[in-house]
Amino acid sequence: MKDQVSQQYWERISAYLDGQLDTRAAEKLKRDLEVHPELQKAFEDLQHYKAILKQIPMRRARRNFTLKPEMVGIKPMPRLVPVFRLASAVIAAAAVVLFAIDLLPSLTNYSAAVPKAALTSAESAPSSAPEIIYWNGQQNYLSNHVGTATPAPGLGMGEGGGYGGGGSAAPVTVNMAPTPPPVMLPAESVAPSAGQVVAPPPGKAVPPTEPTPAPTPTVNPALSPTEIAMDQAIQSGMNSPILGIAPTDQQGQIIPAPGETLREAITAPQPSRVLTFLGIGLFLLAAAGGIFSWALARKR
Amino acid sequence: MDETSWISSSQQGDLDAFNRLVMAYQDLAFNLALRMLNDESSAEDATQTAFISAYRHIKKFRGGSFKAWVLRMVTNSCYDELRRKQRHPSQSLEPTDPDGDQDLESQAWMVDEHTRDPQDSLEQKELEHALVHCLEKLPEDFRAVVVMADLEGLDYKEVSSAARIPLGTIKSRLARARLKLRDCLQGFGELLPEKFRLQSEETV
Repeated sequence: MKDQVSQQYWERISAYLDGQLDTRAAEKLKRDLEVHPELQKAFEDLQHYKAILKQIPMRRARRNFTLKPEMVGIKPMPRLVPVFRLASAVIAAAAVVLFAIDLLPSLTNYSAAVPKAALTSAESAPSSAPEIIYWNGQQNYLSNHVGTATPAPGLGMGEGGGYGGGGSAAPVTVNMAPTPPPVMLPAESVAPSAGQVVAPPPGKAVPPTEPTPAPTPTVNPALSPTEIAMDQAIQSGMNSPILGIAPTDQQGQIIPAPGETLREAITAPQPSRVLTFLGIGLFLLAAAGGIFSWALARKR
Repeated sequence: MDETSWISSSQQGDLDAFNRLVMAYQDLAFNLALRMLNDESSAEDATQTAFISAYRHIKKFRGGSFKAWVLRMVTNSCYDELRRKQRHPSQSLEPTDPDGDQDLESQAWMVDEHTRDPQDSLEQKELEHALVHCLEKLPEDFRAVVVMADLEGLDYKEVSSAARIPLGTIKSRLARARLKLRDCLQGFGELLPEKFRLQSEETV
């Protein structure tokens, strides 16, 4: 057979059986197979040979050939790596907790303290305002006089918030004793006496429309030095500490009580420096541990 | 995940992904090694070596048939094993006779026992024995081509890629290898079961 079929034909028959011949070559071989019986015989032999080989079963591997890390030179992860990773995570968590402990209370106290302080000042303001006593129902005199001639410097009393600061010799009598309701006194029944600031009668008051020169403190020689001082304080301005009213530039601010610091007043504790530094240190330690474990894991 | 994803993950160093590829092709690789080396232990060693080599060089895989690429590794590993055997011939302590003391845990043995008719199993073992004998007589290059094409079912392009041989050379080598195998099997004559005898030998 080998002698009868050339190597070239044998290759063609082999390729034809595998479907590797192009259409033209396959057609030519088909015609040759019909004409030459030795070629036909070789073709049948090869067909049978392929059928025999298909009968041979595939042998399955007796074991798995999956690779383990050490087989391919992958070093196992050092035991320290997970330890460092865990330690870094714990330290970082501790640092976060520390910061939270350090910062959160001060933030909450501060936010709560500011409205409280504002509320306290707002509540205390009306209570510190003195009572107003009107002379013989002459409310208009006072309000007009003070409101137009010498406006009160923001006493929180509206337009008539002045206290005898305006007008020449404002006929205001301030009763130092706490008397709840306003008292209307008749002009004739009032006589100068100790403990009272005496002012000219209301009939001599300057009309409210006219500008009033700056008041000059008047001293009643019949008064004691203390009374004179009070009188002068009242006449010099409406921000007298005796009346408990804050000066203009201090209004709206939180004024600590004597002997109390501003920090105590607003009760806003600042973060402790020790805790802050400890937290920063822990963060740095956690970062260092994380970087070290990453480098160890990458090195393998 | 498909084969392409496994390959790309393996190229990133993912050993688990590569092991999935190993599971998919280990039987094919082992069969090729077994037909090339005709020794199970050597075939296992060659297969394992081939997969290790494949993992180390998988970054060089530029697409195409991964099966052919893996089988090229196996073929190279088998060539190395054959050269090593030629330099240092040794006699295995384990029985080489397939009818002898076969490993009781062998999956092939279990498959034969439970799924095949004993007569068929015996006939196939005779045929396999004859084929192994004939394959051993083939030159290594011819052997690799005929095993890949006729036993493993690879097409010509895959065989060409796996063996790094031009397509035309594959055609001629395969034809000549088949001719030699046919002649060898004819030589077994009546030792082969009747259904496996070639027609020409029956007519002789």
